[in-house]
Order: sequence, then structure tokens, then C-alpha cells
Amino acid sequence: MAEVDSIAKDLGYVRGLVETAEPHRSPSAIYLLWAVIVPVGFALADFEPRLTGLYWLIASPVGFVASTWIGIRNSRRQGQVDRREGARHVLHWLGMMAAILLTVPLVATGAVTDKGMGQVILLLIALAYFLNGVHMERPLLWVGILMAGGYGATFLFSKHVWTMLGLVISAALVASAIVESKRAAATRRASLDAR
Amino acid sequence: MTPDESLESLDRVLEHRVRLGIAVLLTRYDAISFGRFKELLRETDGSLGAQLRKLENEGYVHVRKEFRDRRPTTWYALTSKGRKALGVHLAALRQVIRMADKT
Repeated sequence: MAEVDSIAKDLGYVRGLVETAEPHRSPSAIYLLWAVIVPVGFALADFEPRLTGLYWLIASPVGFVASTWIGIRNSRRQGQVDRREGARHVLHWLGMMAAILLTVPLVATGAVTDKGMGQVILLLIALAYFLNGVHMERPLLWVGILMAGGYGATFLFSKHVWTMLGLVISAALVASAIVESKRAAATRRASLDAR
Repeated sequence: MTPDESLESLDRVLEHRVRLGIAVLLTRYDAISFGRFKELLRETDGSLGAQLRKLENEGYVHVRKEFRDRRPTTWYALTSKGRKALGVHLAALRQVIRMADKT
């Protein structure tokens, strides 16, 4: 019986360890990176619409590669490598980019106007952020909802709506970065206090 | 199988709870550094090093050393032998608890 009690205690200890080693969330640097990329791309839709497509064609893969690099560097710095979690993130965002690329025939065939294309892409991005928030990074859920609200605003307003939307999303991403950074600092402090 | 027989089939290396914790954590993550283990297990360098060495000597973990920002980092990953041993050990633990519940 004493052995069974000891085993139960050991299993409780192991369960505690697994809970403490929760998967790391994305570093705030990734949120800040997109807080810069997004408003620039959105503002172009209002001020230089011809450059918008080209901008996102370059900014999206560059941002994606930079985010992946920051994520890998962060997990190595924290000393906990989880390739499955990394692959989940990569597949999620690759899926979103593929869906956006697949909307190109909608404009090419005249099925959707240029403005309509922007709205469809915004809706796809909003859904991708929302689903990421549901399954992986909770702060992104609110960014997704904000984007969905912005999608509605594009029907109500006509002047500088994309610029305003870009700035609001950027502010939400900066807020998420601050929340994430404070959470990471609190975790570090708790870990040091426990020693 | 009696509780005593189940106890016999436990893996002696994984009976130590720190070593069991290390093995379980390594099933969840591909690799964990010495520093991160220290944070999670709250063990001293000497004690943690000894437990990891024991697992390494048994062939349960694979060790890789690298330099990051000119500082050495040691990474640990579970070997297939370690994964198999952990599976057998956990099954034996479950059996012991089941038998004890019945008595």
C-alpha cells in the first residue's frame, strides 16, 4: 500500500511538471512585426491602390518567414523545442495565404470587383486570426473579431476606411504584444521565486 | 498479475520521480535544454546532472551540445529505447494502481 501511495505522489508530481511546461506562446516580437506590416499595407489601399497587391505579395511571405524565424529563435532561447506546435502554426498561416492566393481568379474573371476582393481577403484574414485565437494564441481571437468588425465598416464608410482599419488592427496587435510580454515576465518571475 | 508482480515489472531507472518527470516531459517536447529542466524540476545542477546522466547511460536519452551566443547549451531528447521503456513503465504503474484499487 505504501508503494501505491508513493506511486500516486510521483504521478501527481509528474502531472504538475507537464502543466508547468505549458507550450510557449508566440513572442511579442511577432505581434509587433505585424503591427508594422498591416497598417502600411492597409493604408496603401486608400492612397496607392495600385501598389497594394505588390506590397502584400512581398510583405506576406517576408513577414511569414521572419515570424517563423522569431518563433524558432524564441523556443530555442527558452530551451523547449516543440516541432509539432511549430508545424501547427506554420500550416495555419500557410493555409490562410493559400486561400488568399486562390481568390485571385475571382478578380481575374471579373466575378469580384477590386474593392470586393479587398473585403473578401479581409474576411479570410479575420477568420484565420479568430481561429488561431480559438486554438492557439488567445489574444489573436480579439484581433480577428476586430477585423470582422472592420469588414462591416468597409460597407458603411468610403473615405480612408482601410487606413483607419489598419491603424486599429495595429493598435490591437501592440496591445496583444504588451499583454504577452507582461505574461512572459510574470512567468519568469514566478519561476525565479519558486527556486 | 498480482500487485507484487506488477511492482517487479516497473523500470528501476524510471522509478525515481525526477527521472520519470524528465522522460514524460521529453515525450511532449522534441528537445529540452538543461537550463529549462532546471527551471521546471527545481533541482540543483549536481542532482539534475546525475539524473540525466543515469538516463543517458541507460540509452534512454540522447544528448547534444551546442554553443549559443558563445555559451554552451546541452539539449536532451528521448531515444526510441527510452520511449519504449517509459511506455512499459507507465503500463506497469497503471496495473499496480488498478490492482490496489480492487483490494
